[in-house]
Amino acid sequence: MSASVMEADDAALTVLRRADASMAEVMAALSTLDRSAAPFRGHALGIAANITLDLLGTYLRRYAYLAGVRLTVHQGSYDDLVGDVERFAAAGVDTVLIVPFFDNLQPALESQLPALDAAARHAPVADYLARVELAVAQAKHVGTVLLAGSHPWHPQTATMADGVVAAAIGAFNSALQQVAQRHANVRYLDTASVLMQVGTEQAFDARFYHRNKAPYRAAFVNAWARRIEAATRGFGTVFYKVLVLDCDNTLWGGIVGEEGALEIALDPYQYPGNVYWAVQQQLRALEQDGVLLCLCSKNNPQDVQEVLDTNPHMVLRDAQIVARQVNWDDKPTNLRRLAAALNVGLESVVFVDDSAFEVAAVREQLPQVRTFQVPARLTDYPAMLQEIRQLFVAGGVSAESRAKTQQYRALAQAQAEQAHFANHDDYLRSLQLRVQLYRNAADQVPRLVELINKSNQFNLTTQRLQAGELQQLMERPDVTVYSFSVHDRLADHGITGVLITEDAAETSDAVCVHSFLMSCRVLGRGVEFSVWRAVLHDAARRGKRVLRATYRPTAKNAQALDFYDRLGFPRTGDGDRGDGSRHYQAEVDQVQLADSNWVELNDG
Amino acid sequence: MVDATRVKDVMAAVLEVDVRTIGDDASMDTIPSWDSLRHMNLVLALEDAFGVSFPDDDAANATSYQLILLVLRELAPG
Repeated sequence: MSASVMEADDAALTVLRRADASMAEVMAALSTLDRSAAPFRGHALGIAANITLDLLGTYLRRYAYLAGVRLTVHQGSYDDLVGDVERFAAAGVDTVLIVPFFDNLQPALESQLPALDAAARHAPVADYLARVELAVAQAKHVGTVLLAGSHPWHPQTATMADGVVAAAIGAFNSALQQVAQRHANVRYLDTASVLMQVGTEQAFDARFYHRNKAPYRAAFVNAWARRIEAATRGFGTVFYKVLVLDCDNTLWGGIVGEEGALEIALDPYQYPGNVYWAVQQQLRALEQDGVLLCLCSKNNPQDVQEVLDTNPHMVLRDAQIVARQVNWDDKPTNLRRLAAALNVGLESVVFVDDSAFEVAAVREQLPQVRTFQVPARLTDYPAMLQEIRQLFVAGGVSAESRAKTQQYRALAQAQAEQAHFANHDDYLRSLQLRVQLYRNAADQVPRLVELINKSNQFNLTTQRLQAGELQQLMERPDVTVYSFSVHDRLADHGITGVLITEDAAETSDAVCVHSFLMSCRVLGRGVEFSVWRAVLHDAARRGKRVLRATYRPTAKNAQALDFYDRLGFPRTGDGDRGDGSRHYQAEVDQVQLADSNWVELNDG
Repeated sequence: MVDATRVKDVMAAVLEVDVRTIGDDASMDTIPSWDSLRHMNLVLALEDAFGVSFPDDDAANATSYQLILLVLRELAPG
């Protein structure tokens, strides 16, 4: 590798490390690193969400590169949880991230809730939880499944109707935590605290939520990605065991050598002592969970010992500290000594210090050590400890499961109320899917044109049409423009698909599929198969013998690549022009269509 | 003043194209990677880079280099 290439890589990593790097800078740096020939560890992660979350992939890749990992992100389809996870599992991903956005479990759910009765309130949540169960079952061989908790979309709605929304989200999150509890490879990841950290102003974007179902701004996605990186231990690269702590202005406020062992700030009833005291409580909890706590401080050893022995507010005492280096040597040297004394690698060490200089020195000389600086805004310090806790909890701290058991026992009741389905078909049946089919519906032209021009992913031929062209097609006797609306027990999805057939000109017995496309929000439920029953029936009635169909690849429709194979149409292979197109021909009276008998097709 | 070079740099980073291919006539129609998803990211990245917030309709409709310049000039202080 040439020196200039390595410099470009380093420059890109420096950009990714900078907290204030702009979105465009991050994206450009990622492109640079994507082209790099440097050896990165590989890790694949699939995201299954009921919102648009592309930006999360970008920021996950940011923190992955910083952990030395080239992350491949598989973006799922829109709200196709079970299908997504099935595909991710088949693709052999290492991690699956499941993200339910509460307000979008049903359209504007938070606004709907207060007016609904208790049963109706429960339905969308129960439905999603049933799908989570199925998805988790699909993912039983996936290394880690991260189940994101939900949060209110509008902070105001959380208080709506005497807390109905907050209560519903609370119950939903409890149920998700319970799923995590029952499966060894599933972890619940809180998002409400990310929201608190970032602030709703910086977190949400109403413009793109309402237009594109993309509710988050970069600030939220960035903070969230960082949490996920920590929760997955740098995407499986590290296993933290040791937490090394500075003393002055890290364990307590002030400098013990100047102020004295009893005068330092650590009083639980006074600021700033109360912040340090709270942090020490968090540290003790970590210690009880099996984390090895060490001290590393530039101090006179007897001064620090005096605090440990005599300060009445100290939470941590000798018994909690497994090793210490209190002297005037530099911190990298002391960290090496601690690691050697404990017989652990430096990559399993986390280091906390209030001094930017010390943190930088450790980062520079011991890049394998994970460093944290006490926040400039001291009141953010306990939140940072929570972040640090994530690193260790994800490392499989043994006591965690014991605590979990008690924590979740109370939630057993809620679980009993959830519906369970034996398999995906059972679930689909329970949806009571109904498809209403229309032919040449002139009054739908505006909506159909919108669908025809906007659908990218599930679009077999991607032939764009303007309103006039579509109207002309509807008027032709040899063309049928099918459209269909989808309804299930949870929601009316509206007009969501278009299928156009055109009788072949050169022969009298063939019908060609001009277009087939659907909105992604109803995919994966068999609707895409069901409408073909009517198409075959119509073709037979017109005396046609064969149905010809083609898949034409675009940059965006790989998802539909094997649709006709799955539908049951035989491939002909002929007529290929080397552009990746696939051609199919089905005998109208013989072809066996893929099963979709749980979908009720109302024709006419 | 809106720095036009910087606009193109942001566009190139988000749309993952060489900045030299972004002409003054660049738009959603001329750049294949500029789809509705990338468009959201582009607006967010421009807001981030220029410290502005696109009004609701402009966020959806600024789908060419020229329209973006127009919006940014309206929003730019001074």
